Amino acid sequence: MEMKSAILSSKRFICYILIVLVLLYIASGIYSIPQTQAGIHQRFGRIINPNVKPGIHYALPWPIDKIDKVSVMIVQRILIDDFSSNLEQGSIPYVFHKMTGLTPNCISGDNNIVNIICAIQYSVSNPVDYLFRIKDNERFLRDIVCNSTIKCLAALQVDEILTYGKRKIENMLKTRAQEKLDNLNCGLIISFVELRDVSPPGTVQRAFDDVINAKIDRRKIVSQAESRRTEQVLQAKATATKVIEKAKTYKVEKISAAHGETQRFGKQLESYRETKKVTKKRLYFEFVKQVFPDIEKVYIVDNEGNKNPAKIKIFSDN
Amino acid sequence: MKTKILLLMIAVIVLVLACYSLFTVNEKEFVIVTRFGKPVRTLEQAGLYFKRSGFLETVNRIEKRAKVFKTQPIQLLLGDKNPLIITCYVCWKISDPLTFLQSLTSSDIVDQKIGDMVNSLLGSTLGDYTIENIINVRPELVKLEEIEARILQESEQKAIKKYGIKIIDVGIRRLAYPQIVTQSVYDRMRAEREKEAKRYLAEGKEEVAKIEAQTDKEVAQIIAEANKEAEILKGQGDKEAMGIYAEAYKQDPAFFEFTKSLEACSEVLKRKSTLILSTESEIFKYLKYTGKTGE
Repeated sequence: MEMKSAILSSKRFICYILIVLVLLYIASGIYSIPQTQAGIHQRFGRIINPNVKPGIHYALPWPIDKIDKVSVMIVQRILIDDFSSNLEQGSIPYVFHKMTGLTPNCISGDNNIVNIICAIQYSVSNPVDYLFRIKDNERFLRDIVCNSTIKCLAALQVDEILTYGKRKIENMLKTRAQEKLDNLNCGLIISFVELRDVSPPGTVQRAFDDVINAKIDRRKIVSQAESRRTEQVLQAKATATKVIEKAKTYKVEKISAAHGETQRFGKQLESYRETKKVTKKRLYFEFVKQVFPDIEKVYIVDNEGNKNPAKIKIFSDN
Repeated sequence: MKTKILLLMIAVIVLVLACYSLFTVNEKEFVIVTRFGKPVRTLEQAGLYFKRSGFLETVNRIEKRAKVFKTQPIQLLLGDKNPLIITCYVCWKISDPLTFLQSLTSSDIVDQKIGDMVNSLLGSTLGDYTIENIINVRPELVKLEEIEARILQESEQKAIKKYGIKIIDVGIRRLAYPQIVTQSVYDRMRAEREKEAKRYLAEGKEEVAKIEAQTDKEVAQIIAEANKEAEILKGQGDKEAMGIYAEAYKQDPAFFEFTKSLEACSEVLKRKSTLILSTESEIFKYLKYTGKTGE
């Protein structure tokens, strides 16, 4: 009796354990997708939901269902330094240098050599393509960007590449590379292309700097000439004003002198009209009195043939 | 009790058989089922499949995804004898798994073989182009796309027959000059830059000369303008003064003459001048001894 109940209870115990195990097995299908990821739900290898949204979900337990998670919201970045002259050990330029003995670079449309480094920001746009259509997506992205860079620079002038064309190159790289990625179902989207460093090779860098300096010099001497010009024009204007002011003064003086003189003349004329002879005489003697003292020598010559004029001092104070 | 045990045993056997004969194909792969090495089925769709269990049939999994590799750098001559070093990338995938399996290659060997093929195609294709078709400031003359398309087309046909693979894309990944050419390019770049720097300086000097000439002209103009205005003003003054004089003097011209002659004389006879006077002068009229007066 006791034996029987023991067997019975142990049987029940095993039953419980089995039920718990089965429940645990069924519960193992619960999974969660984090905020930044997307899930791909596969049943026996076949995709049944290509885009499981973040949150808690249920799938049939192993080995029936499988969930792959892909980060979709996270922006990743790679540095494309294939065309840089930075020969650091282990870098891509270093490998190329080892293989060919050349320093990596890129050729411009007008046959100049430039070094270029760009940074690419990208993220996964299509998790299914990303996981199932192509292997080594990042390597492929790098190849495509290199290809676009070569084609882009092969049609541009070195001046444009080094100075004002950077924005244009960035846009061209972005559209071209994205086009290829889409054509090949890479599942990646490029969000940003930035040219980090675009420079002529080290050995010719100085010549390029000289051009920049020459440009600055040109601007400098021209602006100096401009300021000299302003100064000179201002000076000329000042001189002109002075000349005109002088002329104005002259005019005023002349006119007032005329007024003064004519007034004096008018007064004299008045008295002259009253007593003609006397006034005339008076004026004459006034004149003599005023003028003669200043004269150094006065010779008086007799009208009747005396050749040696007698020198006299007259009307002198001393 | 016995039936129970029997059922359990059957269940275990079924489970084991199922384990051996059920298999899944996922989206990343093709599966070719072979029986004693002989392919019997190609499975291209993902899903759950049966096979005859155990050693009878084998599952061969083959990569379905596209992969990419770089070719070895190769130095080539263009049609105009310009040397160029080129590296390409090639993207390919298996399109005919059975052919691929039967060609008994691995994907690494395929990389190498396709690389060699692409390089030899490059050599023959680039002979039709000159350096002007590779780099040119006029974008419509750059034929890189065309070259890539030609190589893709020609390599595609060979690859699919031989290895059952499809080449999806071929692109140039690096263009470079050999060392000697690079050196001469550097020299030319330097010379070009020097010329440009000189041009900037010459332009600057020219501009300065122009500005200076302009300045001189402007200054001269301002001064001349001012002088003109000054002369006009003076003329006006003179005219007005003369008008005033004329108005006044015309009242009695004789008296005017008299006063003016006095004024003129007083201007003329300044200090240190010598005056010779006749005794007949008006001034001596009263000093002169004449018989008439009898003094």
